[in-house]
Amino acid sequence: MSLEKKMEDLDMSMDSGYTRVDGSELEEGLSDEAVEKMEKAEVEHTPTVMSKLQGSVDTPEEFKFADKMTFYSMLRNIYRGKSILITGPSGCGKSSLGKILAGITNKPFYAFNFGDTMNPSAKLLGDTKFDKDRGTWFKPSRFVSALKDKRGAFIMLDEVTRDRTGDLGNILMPVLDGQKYLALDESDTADTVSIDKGAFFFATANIGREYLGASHDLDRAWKDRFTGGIYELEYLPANKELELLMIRTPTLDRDDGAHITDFARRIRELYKAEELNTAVSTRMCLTTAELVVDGMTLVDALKHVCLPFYPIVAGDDTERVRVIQVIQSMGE
Amino acid sequence: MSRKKDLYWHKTAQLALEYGLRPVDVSRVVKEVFPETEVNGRHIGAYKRRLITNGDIPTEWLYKPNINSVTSEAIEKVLDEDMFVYNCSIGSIKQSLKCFEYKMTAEIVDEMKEVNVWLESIEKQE
Repeated sequence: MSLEKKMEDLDMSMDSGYTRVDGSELEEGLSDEAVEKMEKAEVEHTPTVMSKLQGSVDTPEEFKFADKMTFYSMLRNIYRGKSILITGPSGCGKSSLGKILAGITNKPFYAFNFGDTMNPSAKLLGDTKFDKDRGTWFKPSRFVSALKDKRGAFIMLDEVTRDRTGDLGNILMPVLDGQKYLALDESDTADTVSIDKGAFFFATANIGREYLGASHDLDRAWKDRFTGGIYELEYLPANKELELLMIRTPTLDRDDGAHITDFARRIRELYKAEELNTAVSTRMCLTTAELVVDGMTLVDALKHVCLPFYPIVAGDDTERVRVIQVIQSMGE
Repeated sequence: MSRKKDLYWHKTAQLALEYGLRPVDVSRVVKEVFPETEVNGRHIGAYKRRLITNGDIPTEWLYKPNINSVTSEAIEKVLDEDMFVYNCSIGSIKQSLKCFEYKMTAEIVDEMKEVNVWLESIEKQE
């Protein structure tokens, strides 16, 4: 390869914004001045939000959910106000992640669960009240307070897939679209609430055949609104799950912890092979660990926590029988 | 190939160093802008050497700088981006400390004592 060609390639790689990891091949055959110029060109760069985050922010002890780049890109999205959606099976740590991120960014935290509402408009907009002195008056919701919070709220929309009516989604769509206000009714002269420019939306959704039926997926319109991206969270790898168990239940015997995470791994493999309809979550592992610490045997704790998730049906080849077999193998 | 780190206090420190403040004074300016930072004169000194090597700041100054005016300017000019990264940096440390605090308190609390008190209260009710 000629020297000119090598330099051309180098220029192209610099222009494209990619960081070259190993330049040893290029350096061969170049003069000292050229190598020095290359090194200087590679060292000099414009600081970016991501590079500053990587340089300044350490991953906190409890952040055991994904690789570091995911962590920094999430922080970048919070800074840019780009909403993010976290998907994953129940109990894998989606909501915990939201709380941790709110804590790190020092933003006021507001959580809204989509599964616990009977009146969507009252939950997101507000409700009319009566007072004998004031007459009928409108009481804005906690969601409205969150949007107006001057400190730039961290707003967690938990379990958005549990809103079967679609009403909560319809009210939220304009807000997530980047509209800077929320109309309190549908009239042309409706009162509006200004959304603080620092407000950030963090949504979680359960994805999987047991939550969304045949489609296994989330509505496209929902996905489009999360311009910061969709992060697919998996259950923790066994070693990280064990670390988490040891942090949350420090008196747990490490061998028992290892057995619990090994059990969870085996059940998840059966779930992936579609032999079981639901898997064992990290939350279930934690509950089991707490019971073991309080004196229950490992086998009893696993049975107590996990079996209710698998239906009682007649026969020798049922899901429950399979889970019991795995539990009993833990005790051997 | 190593790449130098970018940190949230660099821009503020560079501003103060361009005026000719000594590293120890620059660290005071940085602490005014980012109160909980752990940056000290040694960090600033290392960064100053890097800036001089790159030719990004002068090495001689005609006037003696005023630390108060430099501080005011630094507070005024701090980037939202740097303030956000600073908050995340402190928040992350606090988050880890909370985690260790949880570990410590969980180890210290004598749970059996609490359970005995609870059992005694049930017996009294009976």
